[in-house]
Amino acid sequence: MTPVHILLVEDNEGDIVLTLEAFKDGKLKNSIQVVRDGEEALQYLHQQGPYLNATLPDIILLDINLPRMDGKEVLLYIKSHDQFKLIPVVVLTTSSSEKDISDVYASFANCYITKPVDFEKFTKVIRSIEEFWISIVQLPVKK
Amino acid sequence: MKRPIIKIILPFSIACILIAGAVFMYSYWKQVQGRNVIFAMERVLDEIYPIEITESRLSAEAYHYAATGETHNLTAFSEHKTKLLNYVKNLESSPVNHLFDPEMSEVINETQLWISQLESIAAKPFYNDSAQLFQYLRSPYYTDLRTSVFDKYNQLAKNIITARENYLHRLNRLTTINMVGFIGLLVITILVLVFAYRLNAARIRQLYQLQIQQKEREFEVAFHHAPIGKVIVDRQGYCTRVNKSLCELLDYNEETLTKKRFADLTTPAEYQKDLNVISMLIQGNIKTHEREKQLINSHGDAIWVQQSMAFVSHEDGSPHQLIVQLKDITAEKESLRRLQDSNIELEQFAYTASHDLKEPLRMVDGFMKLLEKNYGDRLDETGRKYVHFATDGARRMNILLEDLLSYSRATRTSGEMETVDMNEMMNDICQLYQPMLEQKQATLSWDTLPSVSIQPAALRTVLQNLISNALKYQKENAAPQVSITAMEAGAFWKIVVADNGIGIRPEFFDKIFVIFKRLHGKTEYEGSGIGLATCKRLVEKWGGRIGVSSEEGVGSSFCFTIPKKSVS
Repeated sequence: MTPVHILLVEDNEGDIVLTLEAFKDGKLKNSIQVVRDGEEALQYLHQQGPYLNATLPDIILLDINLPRMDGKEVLLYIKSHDQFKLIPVVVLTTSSSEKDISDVYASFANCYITKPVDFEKFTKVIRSIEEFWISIVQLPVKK
Repeated sequence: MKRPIIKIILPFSIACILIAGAVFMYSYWKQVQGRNVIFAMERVLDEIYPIEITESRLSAEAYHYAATGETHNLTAFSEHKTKLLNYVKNLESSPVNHLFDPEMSEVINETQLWISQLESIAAKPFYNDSAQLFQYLRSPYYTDLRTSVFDKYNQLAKNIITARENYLHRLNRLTTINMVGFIGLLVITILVLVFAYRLNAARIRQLYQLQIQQKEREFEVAFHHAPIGKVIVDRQGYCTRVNKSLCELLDYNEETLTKKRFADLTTPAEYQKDLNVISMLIQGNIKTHEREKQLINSHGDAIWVQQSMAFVSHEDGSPHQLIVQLKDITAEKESLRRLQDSNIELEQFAYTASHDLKEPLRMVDGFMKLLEKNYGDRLDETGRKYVHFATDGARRMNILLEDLLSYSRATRTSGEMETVDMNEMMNDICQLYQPMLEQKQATLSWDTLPSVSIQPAALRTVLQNLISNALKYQKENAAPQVSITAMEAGAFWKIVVADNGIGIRPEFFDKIFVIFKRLHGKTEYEGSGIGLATCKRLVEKWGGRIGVSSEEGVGSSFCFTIPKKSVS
């Protein structure tokens, strides 16, 4: 079975560690690539710069508060791109603001999740993402 | 036209009427009197002819008796004599005999003299000597006397007839004069009264005009010097009159402004709204209308005003002019806007602060948990206790931030008003609390509750806060009983959430609704002190009130109200 490719767009080092930690005990074999801002994320998707040999991800975990190009802009770019728009985007963020939620869905995010403060709950959330988006959902075949 | 003229007109016309009355009475009296005199004269005339006849017969009886000595002639003589004396007496007592002196007196005297002559004839019997009788009868004394008596009678009758004619003539003349005077006086009175009436009407008209002018001046002052802008709009939509304040407000001079249409002073959209209001005013659905709107001044800038509109109607109720009052509320609008801005900023601050605080908090919690998980075996008992304190602190801070967020959201949320069946909402909430109810062996019950028009999320937050407080603040090992009832209170529904919990002392009734105010230590009952403050904000936002009544150790009843008709 080919490993699932996950792209984590996150600038907070702590969150990166916590997310990776939560994925580490997962049932599925996966490879997680981390990019730290919106521009890097686009470079990664376009296989530019340092990401020449990057594999197109099966799922993207996207934070909203990013330096330079923020998460909403990245989302809008992905969802208006012919090829990338098929990739499910899970917005994973600290914000629970109604405006953020409606903005993000309006830009065709596949789901919106507020990161719980409690680490156990956070781990559970990551597990659910993994379970739902990777083992339950049937994703389109990559070309 | 001076008042004194009016003043003398009434006495004058009364005097005229009195004089006319007097003239009429005088004329009537003269008529009656005159008629009496004429009757008296006619009676005298009526007496004179019988006197002549009676006197002739008396003479005849006297001669017969003197010639024959027949006693029946003597008896007849006496009868006629008495008759004649009666007539004479009547003449003497006639009210008009003084008018015909000396003829009347002479007639009377001579008649009496004649009677005595005849008496002497009757007393002197000439039975055997008729020649002596005839001689006597032919004596010049006797014949003269006889002729004279009859002449006197004729003269008197003639005089009386003439006098009667004259008198009648005079009486008629007098009556005519009196009537002319009477009618003349009446005509004068009527003319004077008509004149007075017209004079008075003119005066009243003048006074009325003065009053109108006074009112007009008062209006002018009130209109022109009012501190708010005023404009009168005619049926063609032109601003016929404007006041100083409006000119200043819009920075036009009066002349320019009065040439403008009312529509020119505002935006087309605003004017469309005005037209709707005007049609409502014309239909008479409303008498006046107030609203906030924007005017455009001479520089093209928008100015916020409070506008009040009303129609001045004709007597038949049809609209005549539109009076519009315009109060500059730019300053109020500005300060309101600033206040709203600062409120929004404050809420935004509370929101972002609590949000941004969550980020580092997640790091503390996450890495403490990782520390415990990955390095727990290398920590001793004390080390693990420290980790526990840190994660517990993070957990409590998380609750605090959550509550703070919901408090700041309490007035920011702008959900749609919906008709909410509270019974259904309670079913939902009951399901949500089912695990906790089972764990605490609690009962949650409710009466038939009303349907209310409200933002569902707000009502749900209030109910959940009150119910979870009721379940939380309980005596140890007690089975909580929470009941929800509703009753009508005027224009409001009153909802009561009652419990059998620990209760609250009266001195804390107000304090519990203040943010961060807590009555218990963290070890007894955990909480942030924000829940009831959030409830208060929400209830007040929908126009209701919230309060508590309680007895310590017995239980508490929280009641809040919901307007039956939604305020917004």
